[in-house]
Amino acid sequence: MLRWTYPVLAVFILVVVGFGLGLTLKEGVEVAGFVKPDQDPERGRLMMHMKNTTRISGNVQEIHDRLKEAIPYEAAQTADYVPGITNWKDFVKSSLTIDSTATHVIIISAGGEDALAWALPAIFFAKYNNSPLVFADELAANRNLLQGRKAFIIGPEEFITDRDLEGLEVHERITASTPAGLAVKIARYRDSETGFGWGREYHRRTGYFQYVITTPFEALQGLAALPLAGSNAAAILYANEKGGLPGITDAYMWSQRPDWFVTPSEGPFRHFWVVSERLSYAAQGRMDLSIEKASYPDLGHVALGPLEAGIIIFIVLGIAGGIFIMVHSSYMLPGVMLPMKISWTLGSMLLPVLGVILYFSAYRRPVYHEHKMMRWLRPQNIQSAAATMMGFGYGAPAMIAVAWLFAYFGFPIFYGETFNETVFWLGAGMPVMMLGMYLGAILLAAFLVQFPMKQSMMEMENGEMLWNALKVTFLSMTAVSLGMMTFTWWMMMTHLPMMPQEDDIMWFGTIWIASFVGFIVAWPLNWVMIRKKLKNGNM
Amino acid sequence: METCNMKLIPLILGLLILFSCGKSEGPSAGADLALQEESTVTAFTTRLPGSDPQTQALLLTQTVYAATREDNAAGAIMLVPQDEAIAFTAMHRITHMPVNAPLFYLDEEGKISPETFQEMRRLRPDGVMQDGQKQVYAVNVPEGEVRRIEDNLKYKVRRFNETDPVKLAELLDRWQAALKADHPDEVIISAVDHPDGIKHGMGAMGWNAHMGRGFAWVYTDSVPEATKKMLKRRYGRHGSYMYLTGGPEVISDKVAKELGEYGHVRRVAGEDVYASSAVNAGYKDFGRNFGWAWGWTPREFGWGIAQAGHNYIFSNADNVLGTIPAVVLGHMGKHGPVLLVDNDELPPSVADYLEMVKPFPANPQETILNFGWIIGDDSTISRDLQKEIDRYLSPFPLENSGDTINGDSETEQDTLNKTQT
Repeated sequence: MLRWTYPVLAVFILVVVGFGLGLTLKEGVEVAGFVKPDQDPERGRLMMHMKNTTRISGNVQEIHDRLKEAIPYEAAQTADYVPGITNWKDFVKSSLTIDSTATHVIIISAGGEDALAWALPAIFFAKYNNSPLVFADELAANRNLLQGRKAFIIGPEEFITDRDLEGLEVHERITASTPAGLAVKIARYRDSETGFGWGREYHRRTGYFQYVITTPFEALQGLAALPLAGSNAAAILYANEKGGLPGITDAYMWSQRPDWFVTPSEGPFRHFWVVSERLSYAAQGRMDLSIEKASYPDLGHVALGPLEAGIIIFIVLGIAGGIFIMVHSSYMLPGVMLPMKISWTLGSMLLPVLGVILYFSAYRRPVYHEHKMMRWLRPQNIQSAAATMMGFGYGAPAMIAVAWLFAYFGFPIFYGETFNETVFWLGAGMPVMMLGMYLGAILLAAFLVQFPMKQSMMEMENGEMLWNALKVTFLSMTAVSLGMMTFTWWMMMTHLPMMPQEDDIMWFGTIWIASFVGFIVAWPLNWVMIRKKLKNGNM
Repeated sequence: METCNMKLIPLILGLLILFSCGKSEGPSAGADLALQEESTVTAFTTRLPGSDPQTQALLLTQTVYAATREDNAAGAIMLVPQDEAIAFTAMHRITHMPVNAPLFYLDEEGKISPETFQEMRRLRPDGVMQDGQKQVYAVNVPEGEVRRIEDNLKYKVRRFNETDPVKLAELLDRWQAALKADHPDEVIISAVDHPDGIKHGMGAMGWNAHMGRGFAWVYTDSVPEATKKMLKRRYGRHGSYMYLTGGPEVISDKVAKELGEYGHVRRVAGEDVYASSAVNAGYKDFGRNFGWAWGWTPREFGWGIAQAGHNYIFSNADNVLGTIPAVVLGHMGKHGPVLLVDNDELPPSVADYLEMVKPFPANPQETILNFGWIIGDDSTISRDLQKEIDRYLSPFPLENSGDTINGDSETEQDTLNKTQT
């Protein structure tokens, strides 16, 4: 007879854990900007600087004048006049100084503001690096600069045709499908032989990289911010005309998030300078967050570091294994009792790969009958695994569900003056949560699984049966908890610099791996219980 | 039809992944903001121009927390009266993770100003998981104002009502121990009855906002009972590791010796409050702390910044209420210590320190950079001083700011304008 308690407990676990994972996914959706915040985060602001983003507001003249006044260093000096659509070429020429020892030369197009938009990322590099720079319509007049140097042609053929380049000895075109793409390309590109390009790739973790953000439609504002290339080694990146961040810029920014090993006061840091009247508040907030320092084991709540990536794979493999066992056992193992199927399904979700291997090891065995019930003839190790799974399959997911509820509603803490100071930790959130998840899981598993299971299999007084159920559950859950709690404490309180919140993938990752460890610890303890015939491992 | 629907699944999944790359478009930001013009910048500094403590606190939260989503919102909000010792104590113990709380001030009448209330609404704090998802920490806030927060903003509030700063430090120590299941063994100790006690401790308070260690008060010539009680809680043979902020004239040698009964005592102090802030920025103490047969953890106290490539918070030493909330800049963003200055002069001790950490050309593709926050408007720290600080933070030599940061390659002084004839 099917007891209602098993599926009810399973549904409770799946609803709670599913809700938690759903909230974590919602976080991701918020990152993508699909969900607007409930409040207006721009309302009431007095200025627009942020911790990793400085906004220089104003038109071209205002930006030019402000930076001329604010940055006195000779290396950062640009022409005294304001760049405009007709004189930007002269402005660039007057603002650059060339290094006679440079082994590369940059060729950019001359023309209107669209030509400037394509050329601007290279102009910024030339300003910082003192690179020789030649306009495409003045190649003939500057043969001396081109001679013996590798030429880098910036932008598509639409602006600099191959015919323009006839006679050039060594040259390479650097272009992309959009100015935003080209800006990212130049930020990442490095020709080590000639020293062209910023070479700001993800793996260069020690660089103090700064960037000026504008839009291709405000390239003149960007040019007015040229002093920042000289003083701060700032490269150009582009937002789009609607004030948002194109995918290529966005992805590059997140790759620039710096990490820290001992304290976040370590270098390096990264910084953005916004010189655009179009950039939205949402985009600026996102930029600011993208380069917030994060601890080295992971890359913070948002950026996907190796630890988060590994954890996601771990969890997905576990869930896939659980679903496979649910489907497989439903069709292929009609003789297995439903409580066992549920147990294997839930337990395997926490044991990626191992769960499926153990499942097959447990059921690809000769069958026999005992008290009219099917049994599988298994070696003792596999009996121990199956017996562990019976307690673990309900207990560990129940502990996760209870722990998540604690985290979601917040840990209760107690710190009254009269509280005995030697056991202050009994009032601390983490021990309270651990005690709660341990006791909660024991009660849930004892009343909803062990008790009804024994009721259907044994003839015994209810009181005695309940006591028996509690004892078995206590032993099983204590064995699982030994590994699970220890790992959770080590990971959350010692290893990770910040305890993850209930909607961080790291929270689930920690507790998922802790469950795996719990199983590994409980397995040999169950081996002893099988040996002493305290448990049955052939179900 | 069914086949067609099946084909749509990868398409829909593909579109979802594509759009998940981000959507950040929106109306232009930053038009006509009241203090944007006054928030002057240089290449290596940005000013947050608060003219009073309440406005300064707002500018700081707006700088640190964009609040467009949960991950760049505050964890909670701290609300305190304009009382230096109370605010200083609260900032020491509440700011750091897992709470992640900036500080706001009540006005002179003990009310929450409309601007502060709006900023509290804008921040929409996430809540502190380790403390029942509390969103506001109200320290000595009148009950009527707490109710306003609960009723209008629907935030969960934890109240700390203790007007004696010494006892408040003890209360917050108990609360923090429950929050973290531990008493941090490193304890910063400042003098509550010395007129410059807070100023000498300002830098170390920044370290606590950054790292969340312990804090206690003493008197210049005695140790209060509440502090003794706190120190006794530190477990192990070595007990506490105490860092006294100020020289013997601030915290007497007698007190230092008495504190020695509870563990290891060191001073983080200079000749004056400016020197104390500079010493604090470079101070580092590490070594043995706690463990059993295995799992020994070291003590590690102080910024220990003695090289280029860091961030600093520059504040006028007399602007105590403005400086206290500013250490949130050491808690998020680029992180870094407080350096105290005058209105229009860089004290020699701070200048010497900045010379030591001055950047230099180090790489052809970029350079090591420093960064500084200027706390307060022009009347608090002058524009000229901001520019002087910028020179110290820059990678250009102080004597000749004209050298390039690109190393020692010879450059043609003629511009392209002259060569491209």
